[in-house]
Amino acid sequence: MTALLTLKDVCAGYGGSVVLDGLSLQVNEGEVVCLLGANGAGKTTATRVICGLVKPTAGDLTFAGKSLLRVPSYDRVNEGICLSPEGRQVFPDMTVRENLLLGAFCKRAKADRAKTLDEVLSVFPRLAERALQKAGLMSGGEQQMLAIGRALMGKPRLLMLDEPSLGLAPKLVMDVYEAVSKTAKLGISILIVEQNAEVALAAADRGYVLADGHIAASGSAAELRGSKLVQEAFLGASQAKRNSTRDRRRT
Amino acid sequence: MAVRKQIMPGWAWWALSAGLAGAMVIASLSGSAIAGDVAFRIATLLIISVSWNLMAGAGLISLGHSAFWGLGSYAAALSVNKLGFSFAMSLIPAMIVGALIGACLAGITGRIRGIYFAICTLALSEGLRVVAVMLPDVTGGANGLYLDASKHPGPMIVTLVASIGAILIVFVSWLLSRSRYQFALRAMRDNESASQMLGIEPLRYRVAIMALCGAMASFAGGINIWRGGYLDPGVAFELITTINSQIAPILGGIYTLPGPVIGSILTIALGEITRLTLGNIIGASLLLYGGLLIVIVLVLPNGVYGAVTGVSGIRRFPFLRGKQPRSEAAS
Amino acid sequence: MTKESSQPILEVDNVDMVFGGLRALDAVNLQVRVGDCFGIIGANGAGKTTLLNVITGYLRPTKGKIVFDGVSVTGKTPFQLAKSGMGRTFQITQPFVEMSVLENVMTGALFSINGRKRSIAEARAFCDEPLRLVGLADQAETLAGSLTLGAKKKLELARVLATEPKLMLLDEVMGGLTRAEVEEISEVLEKIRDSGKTTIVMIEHLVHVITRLCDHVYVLNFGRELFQGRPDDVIEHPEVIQAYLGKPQTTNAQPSGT
Ligand SMILES: Nc1ncnc2c1ncn2[C@@H]1O[C@H](COP(=O)(O)OP(=O)(O)OP(=O)(O)O)[C@@H](O)[C@H]1O
Ligand SMILES: [Mg+2]
Repeated sequence: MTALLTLKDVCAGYGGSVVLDGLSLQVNEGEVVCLLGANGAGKTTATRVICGLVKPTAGDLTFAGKSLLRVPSYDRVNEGICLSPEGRQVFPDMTVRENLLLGAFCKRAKADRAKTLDEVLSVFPRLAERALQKAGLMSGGEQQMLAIGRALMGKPRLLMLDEPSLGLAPKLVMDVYEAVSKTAKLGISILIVEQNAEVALAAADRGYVLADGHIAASGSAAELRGSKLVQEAFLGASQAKRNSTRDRRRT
Repeated sequence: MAVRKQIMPGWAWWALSAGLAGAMVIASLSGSAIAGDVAFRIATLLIISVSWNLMAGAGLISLGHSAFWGLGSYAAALSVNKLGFSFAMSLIPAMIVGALIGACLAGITGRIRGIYFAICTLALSEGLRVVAVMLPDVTGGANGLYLDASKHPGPMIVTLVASIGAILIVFVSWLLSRSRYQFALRAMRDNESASQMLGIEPLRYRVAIMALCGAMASFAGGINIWRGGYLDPGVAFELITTINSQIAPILGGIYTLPGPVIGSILTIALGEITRLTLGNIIGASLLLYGGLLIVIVLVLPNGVYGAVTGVSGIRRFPFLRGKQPRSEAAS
Repeated sequence: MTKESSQPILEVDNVDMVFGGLRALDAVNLQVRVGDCFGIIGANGAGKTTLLNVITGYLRPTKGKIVFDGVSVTGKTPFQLAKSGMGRTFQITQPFVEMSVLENVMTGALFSINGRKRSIAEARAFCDEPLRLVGLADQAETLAGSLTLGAKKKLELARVLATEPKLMLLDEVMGGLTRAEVEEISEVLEKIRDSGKTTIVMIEHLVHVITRLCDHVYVLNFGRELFQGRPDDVIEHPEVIQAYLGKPQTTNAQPSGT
């Protein structure tokens, strides 16, 4: 497998504060990679650096063999990097359909946007039902679907999903991850940032754990699932404790 | 308040403020025509810019401060000419009219915000100008009216009252900035809908702040008529009044307490300097003045106060400016 | 349990909410009792947030009645309801972005029923507690706009806690939190519930949180009641599984106690 995206010793921050401190990671062609980490560990900043919304202060960033450092964010979309941002960020006063079509604004996606639109709407039938509703009036979960759909509209080579399961009903989380697997089968690489480590690791081939701005652990999804660090921090190893409080309450 | 670079201890702020206030009073009493003129212009500009800044701080961007100013001027002038009021008495109807029109505007505009609110205020000021032209019996129409000169207390008293008024109004805005109302006003500016769920009644605060700001701006307009003694609709509702009232706070630091003070002194000083150096070439001083304003806004997007202290009332890209939080990892 | 006999604090009586051609709420009836922890679940777009908006006065119901604390409050505005003791959080977070975290919470502490008597210094001191509870104490000076999503959700909770509501309506406050943080916040809510001072209504997609905290769960589907009852009965109900959970809870993607 060849590397599609490589981050090497990337540092970045806001104002004076350092958020990413020597982050290195790699996403190969057709691979699903998940990035885990506590709140504030820098996961969202990592996606912003990859999109070009935050400039790295050090390190290198290559995509499909080319350095991205001098490529502005709007051109990176055209290279095939699409992001579904944390907290949705849909255009509230535009309709659902307009939001989706905007996702296919770049040259690379424009030509077949009608076809992509059909595909996206088949993944999220609710968006088809509400094509003409203002995006800002959609429910929280519906806006999340829209954000993911909009990213898919860009015909990505690398799809980045920041907290895709946020606000989605359990059944829909399954639907989204099913769509993720399907998308990956088409040869598209996917980078998932998730708090919901269980589902993310189930869908991913490999994973990284981000702590204090750099990689603290990495490995195949199965390895990570077995590791003590991941179990304690992300998979709820405090299960026993919780069950006991619950039982106490029931009696 | 927000994290702030401590550039001066508290007493130094007090000393500086007292010094500025003292300088204003001394300039008013000096008897020098130039010093008095500068003090008067700083004082009136300060009053309307504090007023504009307070309203902006509650999310109400006004493009119609000349409405308050002009109404204040007419209220003062007419109370003298028609009712025989004295100088001091004439300022009272000015403030009452300003407060009333502010409160009414707050009520009428209801929940309108942002650009729509701004346009309403602009329409109000233009509308008032037209009304003033159409009521020649009261306002003298386009010919204007002259203030009854026999009531004039002399320029020194007028300047002194303007200066003291400005000092008091800055003091009021300082009191406000330390009160609970500050929280309600900022919350409304930021997110009016969410602020309601904390028990904040938007209309109430809106009426209160606009009445206060209207009274302030009309006071400035009311006292201004005592300087020139002449008023016509064009002068009363001049657009430049509105523009000046916002340039000063933006220059000094919008939404901040010292912003209007710094900005007013700076704009008047810039105007004077360019006039003195290039005054003999027609238009050149204005060109330089405008150019300097643009440069300052470009170099200091948060105003002078923001540049010096690192405190800015406005955050354009919060996620790029603020400190990125790092929570302690899961324990 | 004594709970069954306690007074209803909130009654939603036959409420309809229609947006154009869309019936977002259809004859919703529910009762929340004092001291309860009442869960609302349902698929995306089922009408949960709309129901909260109707209860808190952000929307006026097309039909039906809301009774809070024994008085009909249909048509009251959000600030009137806030003053009479309701508090809520927003699913799509609504912090005051140009204020610090502390100032956000202080705003809550200054304008609530009890807050009106507080001075600013008292309000500041009072906010230590809610900030500590949600785990934002060391970010008190951070600008709210620059918080991560998870931290914004915590801020929503701290701000509503600072208003000391009688009835607290939480719309997905645990979104974007790590497991450990969900655990912490659940403990906080558990304490609040057990203190008996605040009645909680919560919307949450984390089913294990709902089953852990709630006494009663109401399931909405396409704006209608699908089922309501004890949490254990709800997650085993075949229609709930089919419409919402996708598959039975134990093997569900959202891990629960196994
Ligand atoms: N103001 C509005 N105008 C038109 N449709 C609306 C409006 N508000 C909500 N809707 C629609 O009503 C339905 C219910 O929305 P609501 O926000 O209550 O869902 P929800 O149950 O909270 O879902 P989620 O779990 O995704 O947050 C949605 O389909 C939404 O698109
Ligand atoms: Mg919702």
